[in-house]
Amino acid sequence: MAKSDEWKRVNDDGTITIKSCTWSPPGEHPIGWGVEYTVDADGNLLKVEGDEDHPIYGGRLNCKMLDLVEYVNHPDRIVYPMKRAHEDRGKDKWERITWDEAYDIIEKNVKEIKAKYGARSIVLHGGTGREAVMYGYPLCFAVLQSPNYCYSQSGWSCYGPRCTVADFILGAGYPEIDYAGFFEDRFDNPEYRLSEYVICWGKAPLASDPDGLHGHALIDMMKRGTKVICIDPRITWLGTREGNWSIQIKPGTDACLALGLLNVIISEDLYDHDFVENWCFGFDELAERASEYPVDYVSEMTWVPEDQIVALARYIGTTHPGSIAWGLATDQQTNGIQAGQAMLDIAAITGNLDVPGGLTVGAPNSFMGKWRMDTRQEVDPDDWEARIGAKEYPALAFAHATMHPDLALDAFETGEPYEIHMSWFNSTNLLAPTNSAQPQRWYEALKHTDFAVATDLFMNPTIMAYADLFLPLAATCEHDGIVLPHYGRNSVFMGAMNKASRRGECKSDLEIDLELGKRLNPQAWPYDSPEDFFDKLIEPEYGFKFDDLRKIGCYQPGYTYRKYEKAMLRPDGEPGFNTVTGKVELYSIVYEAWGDDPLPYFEEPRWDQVSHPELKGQFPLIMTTGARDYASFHSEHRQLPMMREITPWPMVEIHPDTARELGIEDGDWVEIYNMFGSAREKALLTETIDPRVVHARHGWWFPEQDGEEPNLFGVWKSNVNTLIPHKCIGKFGFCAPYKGVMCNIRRVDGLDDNMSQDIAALNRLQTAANAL
Amino acid sequence: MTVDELLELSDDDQKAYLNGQIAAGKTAEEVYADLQTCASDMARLGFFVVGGKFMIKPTRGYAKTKPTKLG
Repeated sequence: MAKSDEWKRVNDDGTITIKSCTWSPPGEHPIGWGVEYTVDADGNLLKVEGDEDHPIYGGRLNCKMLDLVEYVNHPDRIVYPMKRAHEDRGKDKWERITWDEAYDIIEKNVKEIKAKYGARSIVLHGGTGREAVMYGYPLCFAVLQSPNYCYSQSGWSCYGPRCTVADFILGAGYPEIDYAGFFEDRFDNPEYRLSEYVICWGKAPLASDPDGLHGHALIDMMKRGTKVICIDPRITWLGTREGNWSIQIKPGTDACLALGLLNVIISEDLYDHDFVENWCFGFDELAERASEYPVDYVSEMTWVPEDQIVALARYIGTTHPGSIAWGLATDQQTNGIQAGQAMLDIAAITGNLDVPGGLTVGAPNSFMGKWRMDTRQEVDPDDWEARIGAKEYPALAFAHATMHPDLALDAFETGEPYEIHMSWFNSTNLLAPTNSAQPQRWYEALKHTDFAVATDLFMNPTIMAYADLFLPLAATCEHDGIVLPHYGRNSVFMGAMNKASRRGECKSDLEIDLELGKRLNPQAWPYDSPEDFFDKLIEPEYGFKFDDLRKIGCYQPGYTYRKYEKAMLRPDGEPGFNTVTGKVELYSIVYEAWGDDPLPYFEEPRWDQVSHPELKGQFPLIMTTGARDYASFHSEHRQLPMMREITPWPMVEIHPDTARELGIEDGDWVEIYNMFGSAREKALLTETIDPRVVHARHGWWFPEQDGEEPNLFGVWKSNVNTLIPHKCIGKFGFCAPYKGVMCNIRRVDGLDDNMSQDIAALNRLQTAANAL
Repeated sequence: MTVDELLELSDDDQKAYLNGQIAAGKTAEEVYADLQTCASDMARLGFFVVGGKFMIKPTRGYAKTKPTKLG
C-alpha cells in the first residue's frame, strides 16, 4: 500500500496533471477507471488518458471515458441551476437562478408538502449505476426523510434480484468472479489460482463493465488460459475465441438450463461431496428437483442441443476452479429469482464458492454501502411501515430499502394507498427506454405532482416533461469522491476520485446532500465538507484519511479465501455462511417463508409463443433488449458526436433468414411491435442471432430533435420499453421480462413517417393487453 | 413479551427466548400468537423456523429503520 504525492503534478507548459479513479457522471458503474486528467490553469479539462500505474486497468479506458473531454465541455451541458414555472412543464422556458434560490424553493416546497401530506408523499426516483445511486438513498431518507426511494424499473430488474438471491442463498453480497483484483500483486499472489473457466451467463461485460467488474478482466484471464463459456441468445465475440464456448439459449429459459446442468452434475456424481456435506443445506431435495429436468426436456425448452448441455455439465463438474459471471439477463425474466438460485447452486455444489479462482464472497453490505442504507434511521418508523409495496412484497422490502416499482406506478395512477405530491428525479431519465416498463403510463401518471426537482448534466425528456427545478451535477473529474466496486457489496478495491476541473456552478451529489441536508435535517449531516465526510467514514474502518487515499490512489484490501471455515462471515462468530442455517441454502428457508418454492424451478416465459399459442401467428418472434453497447450508458451519451459516430442509430439485430421472410434489408427502418407497444429501429442483419429472436437496443432518444412536448426529443419513437408489460413479475415482486416478450417486425419508411404519438391510445392498448 | 421487546434482546437471547417457548411445549403458531404477530411478519424481522426450532437470519434486512447488523 504505497503512498505517493505524485497524484498531482505541474507540467512544464503550466498545465496540471491529476491522477484519479473515476466513477460518474457520465453514467458508469463503480468500476473506478484509473485516469490522468490534464487541465489548464483555469481548470478546463484538456485531456484524459489512462493511468498506466493503476494496478487493475494499467492505462486501459473504455471509449466513453476517452470521450470525457467532449462530454464535460459540450455546449448543451447545463452548468447553472434553473427554474421553470409549474404551468410551463413540457416547455423550454427555463430561467437561470442561484443555488441559494434553488435551495430556498426546495426547502419551502418540501416543508409545505410534508406538513400537508406527510414525508411519505415524496418520491425520489433513482437511476442506475451512477454515483447518485450511493447518495440518492441518503438524500431520500436523511434529507427529505421520505421512505419512498423508487428505482422505477418494473420488477427492480437490474442487479437487485441477483443481490437478493445472493443474500438469501449465501448470506453474501454480490458474488463476483475472481480476477485477483483484491491483491496488490494481482495474478502473482501465492494464494490466487486462475479460474479454468468463467461462465459468462447472460452478460456482455466487454461492453457493459457492469457493477464491479471491468469487462477486460476476462481478457486478462483469457490471456493466462481461462476459457470463457458464453450463454446468450446471441453468438458473441467472446464466445467465438479459440477454446471458448458459445451456448445459444432461448431468452428467458436460463433457470431451465441451470436445472438441466444440475441434473447431469448430480446424477453423474460430479459434485463436490465434501463441500456439499459440510456446507450445503437441502442437497437431497435439490437432487430430487433437478431430476425433474431431463436433458431432452431442457433442450426442447431452451433450444440448446442435448449434447451441448451434457458436455457443458461434464466440463463444469470436472474442471476446477471455475466461476460464473451472472448477468443482467438473470434479472430480466420473470423466472429470474429461480435462475439466479440455480446458478449459485451450480457454483456451490461444484465447490467454487470463496475459493481461489472461484466466486468471491463479500458482506451483504459494508462501509459506505451500509452507511447509505442505515440513513433510513432518519425516516419516521410509521412512514417506513407505509413504504409502498412493503406489505405486498415483503421479500423485496426485506432485501431493498425501496418502494416496489410497479406498485409505485399504481400509486401515482390511483392515489392509493396514498397520494404522491413530489418527485425528485435523481440522475434518472425514466421516460427513455432504459428503465420503466410502459413508460407512457409513467408519463401520464407523473404529470400530477405538485413539485418536481431533477439533477443531471443535460436536458432530457424526463426533465423537460416534469421538472420545476434543474440542479446541475459535476462530472467525475469535477469533484472529490470515493469509488467502490459493487457499492460496498464485495468491493475489490477503493479508489480516490480527485477533483481536477470545473465548469460553471456544478455540484456533486454529495455536496447537494450535505448542503440541503443542513437545511432540512441538520442532525443527520454533521460534516463540514465532502473531505470531512470521507474522513469520518474512512478512518474508523481503514485507519487512514481521504487525503491518504489520494496518495494511495487505489486501495486493495486483500482477500481471505474459505472464510466460511474460519468463522469470518457470521456476526455470531461461528463458522459457516451468513444464512439462517449457516449453510448455503440449496433449499431456501427464506424463499419458503415468503411463500415461494424453496427450490429452483422453471416457469415458461409468460409472453412467448408457448405460453400464448393463440398469439403465435401475430407475434412469431421473441424480442430481447437491455444489452449495453460501447458508446452509451443506457440513455446517456446520445448528444456526443463521437459516440453517435460509433452508434448513430438504434439498431435491432435480425437474422438474415427472418429478414428475408419479412422483406427487410440491412439498414432499413423497421417497427418492432406487440400487444403492448411499438418502437422503431434500424435493421442490422446478422447471423449471430437466432432466427426466432430479435435483439433491440434500448435507451434511445434524440437530443437533436425538438425537446418540447409532445415530441420530448423523440422519446416515444424508439422506445422499446413500450413493448414490456407492467407488473409481469415473479412472486417476490422481482424480475420483469425485458429479455423476452413476443413481437413482430415490419419495414417502415423512416424513424418519423406515420409514427403515431397518441399516448392515450397506446395506454388503452396496453390496458387491454394487460387484461389478457 | 411483545415483538418490540424481543428485538431489544441480543440475537442469542432472542433465540433462547423463542426456543425456550418451544421447549416448554408451545408450537411456533402459539409463540406467534403470544407475541401478537404471525410467521410472515416474523420473517420480515429475520426469524425463521427450521426443523421445529427458531433460527435467525444474521443480516436482518430493511423491515425496520434500525441499522443493519453485519457479519
